[in-house]
Amino acid sequence: MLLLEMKRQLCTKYVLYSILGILIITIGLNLIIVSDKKDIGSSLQEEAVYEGDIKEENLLLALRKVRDEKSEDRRYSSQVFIINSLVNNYPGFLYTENKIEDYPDEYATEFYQCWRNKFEFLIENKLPTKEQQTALNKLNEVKTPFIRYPGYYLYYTALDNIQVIFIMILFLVTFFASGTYSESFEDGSMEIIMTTKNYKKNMIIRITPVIFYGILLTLIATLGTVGMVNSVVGFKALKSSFKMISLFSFGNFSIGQGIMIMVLAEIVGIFALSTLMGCISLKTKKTTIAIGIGVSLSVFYMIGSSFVSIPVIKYLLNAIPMASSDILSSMAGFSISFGLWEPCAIIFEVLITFILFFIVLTVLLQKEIKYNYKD
Amino acid sequence: MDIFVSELKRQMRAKRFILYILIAIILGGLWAWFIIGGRTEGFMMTGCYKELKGMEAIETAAKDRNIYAGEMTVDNFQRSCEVFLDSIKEKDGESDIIMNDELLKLAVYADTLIMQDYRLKKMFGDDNLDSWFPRDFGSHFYENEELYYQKLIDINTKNQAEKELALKMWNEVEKPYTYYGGFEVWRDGVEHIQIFGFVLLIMVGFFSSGIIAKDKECGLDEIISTTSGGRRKLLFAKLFIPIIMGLLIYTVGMGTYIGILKHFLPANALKTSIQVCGGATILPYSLGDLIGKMILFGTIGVITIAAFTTFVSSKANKASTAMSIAVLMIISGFLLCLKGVSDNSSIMKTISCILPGSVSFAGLWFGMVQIVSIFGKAMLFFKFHLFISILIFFISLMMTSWNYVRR
Repeated sequence: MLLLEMKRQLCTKYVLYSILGILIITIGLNLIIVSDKKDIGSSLQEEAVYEGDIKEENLLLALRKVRDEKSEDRRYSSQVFIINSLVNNYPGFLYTENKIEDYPDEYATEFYQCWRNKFEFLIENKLPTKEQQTALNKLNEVKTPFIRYPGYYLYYTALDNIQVIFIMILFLVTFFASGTYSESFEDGSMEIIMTTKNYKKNMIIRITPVIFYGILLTLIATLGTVGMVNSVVGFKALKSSFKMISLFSFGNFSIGQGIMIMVLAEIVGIFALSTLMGCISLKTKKTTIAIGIGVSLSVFYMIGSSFVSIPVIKYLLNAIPMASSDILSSMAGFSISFGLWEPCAIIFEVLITFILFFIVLTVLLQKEIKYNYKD
Repeated sequence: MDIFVSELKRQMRAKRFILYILIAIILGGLWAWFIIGGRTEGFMMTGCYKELKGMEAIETAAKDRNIYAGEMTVDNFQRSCEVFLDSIKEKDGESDIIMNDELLKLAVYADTLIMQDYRLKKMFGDDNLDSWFPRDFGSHFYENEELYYQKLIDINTKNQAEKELALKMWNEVEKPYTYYGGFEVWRDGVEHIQIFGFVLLIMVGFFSSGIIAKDKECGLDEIISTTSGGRRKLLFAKLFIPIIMGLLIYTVGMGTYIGILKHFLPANALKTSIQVCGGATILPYSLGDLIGKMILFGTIGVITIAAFTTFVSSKANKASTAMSIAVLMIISGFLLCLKGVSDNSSIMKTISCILPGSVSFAGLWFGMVQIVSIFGKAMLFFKFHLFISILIFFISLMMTSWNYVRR
């Protein structure tokens, strides 16, 4: 029966087109990254000399070569790039040198200490007082040295691309889920389904194809992106620390694990969104209205989250399933919410939304079924 | 004409009509309140005007800054340069800015100087950031400005024709610049025209998606085709009702928003040159011109999306499908425009142009030097975008007519 329901909902033109659409967008966006990098092979080999742990003595060597001897060797400049981000991420805080010639040796010889100093400085200046202690604890959990494999920098754009596609996917899921119940009411097939033996069961499993559809799209987007980037830089780049993407962030995960967290959040978001849309669809019995409400909610999040910084509203916004597609920016930052690392808090909140609406959905279904049997 | 009016009446049933208009008005009001009410003023993290918020902050800051308002002369720049440098107190290696009355009055000048200093250092990368600018920096303001923009144009243009156009634009910029107190709020308000336009665009998409598809859903379409006039007589109404409604929603929503801003914010601030507003740009406009341009883009965007959604509606069998496609188009246009600017990728910018409705976000092309060459002829990017959008509008109208009458 589950299979039949899957077949009914998933073997449609809409699903086919959206899969193709996501595939094309994924390939298109990543083609832009990959096509620029035709001659990357030689520089990757150069960089590979110092791959693995980032050692302070190597940094010092590189800094000396680039700063004093004006070397343009890729193997050195790629390392100085890391020192650069120490100064250039959150510019104007603590380290304010404008060009490499001004960098003291200290940035290389005590790279990790400098990093820690700036991070502590940032936490003290940018976070509210009550969150600072938690943030410092989180900071102490971070393990050094960081790891770097050649070509990781392609993931700057790749991660951004994944995020954009994830936003699109959540919209597609919204559209798909909006018809979960209402479509059957609209075309009258509900009347027929109601008379069948498996009516109850059918009503409950209706959101599974939606979830399946969302997960499918997510996997296509992720695997497509990772596959295309890996075809250029190899699988090793995934093992680089996420710190290489955003130096001032918590946690000890690699870029690969970072992507997994994004996917996990997206999947939780899909779960929440499908149940939420299921509720709306069942309640309104009109697909267009359901789409209207769903889209408004997501757009509300997109606009609200970029302009409002009042904590209470932020907590509320993070509970909207759309928040799960935005997790990259909170992974790259160092915010704390509910005493938790922000990405965790978002996943947690969205999970609560899912559970809440799952309960609401079952209650609504019970009512609907009872009401129909009374007739 | 009769049939047009009766169709108009049918599509704009009182409840639906009021709902759309009301939402647009409420959103416009909220948005303006958000821009004005949430405003705080300051200067270089010194905490001046810290305890003020909203209109109070805007008025107090504008009053201070209006003393030297008007044309930004070199003398005033030089004075602000000296006052600013004098206000810096070195304290164990860190420099603190001590606010004084004179600096409060010259804040805009000082801000512009700091920005220029930063830009020049970034571009030429050969200055020492540990120290502030030299004491006579202010007296060379317009020479430095010339230096910076010449270099910027050099970097961002690909051929001679583009360079000439960029230089022509830059030479048209009125120097000395002008500013009046309170322009910062206006600048935010103008930027938000696009984002608010995005929301209105989605509303127009919602309205237009049902125009033909709903008839098909309830079987009305079949009945229409059997009447003596057939679909042909109804075509005009079907084509133009979404556009009329779109324009109405946009006018009402944006009108409320701009109206509230105009009522509360100082009107002379609209004469401010956009070069003072923060971003580097070569366009010779004032903030007031910018509002007009943004609203023009928004209007074109709205009629484009209305026409395009009508076309989708004539193709799709269900209103919900048409709705999904319209929303998807608007959102991808929005995301791609943003991504095109942040990645500075010409492919993405071109793709975002083609998406219907994306012209509402063409204000993004006002920053830096956004010029494109078509067949060797240089063109400002937003004009190109506008052209494509109008093309899409007419193509959509034609396709809809073809689709609707032929079936």
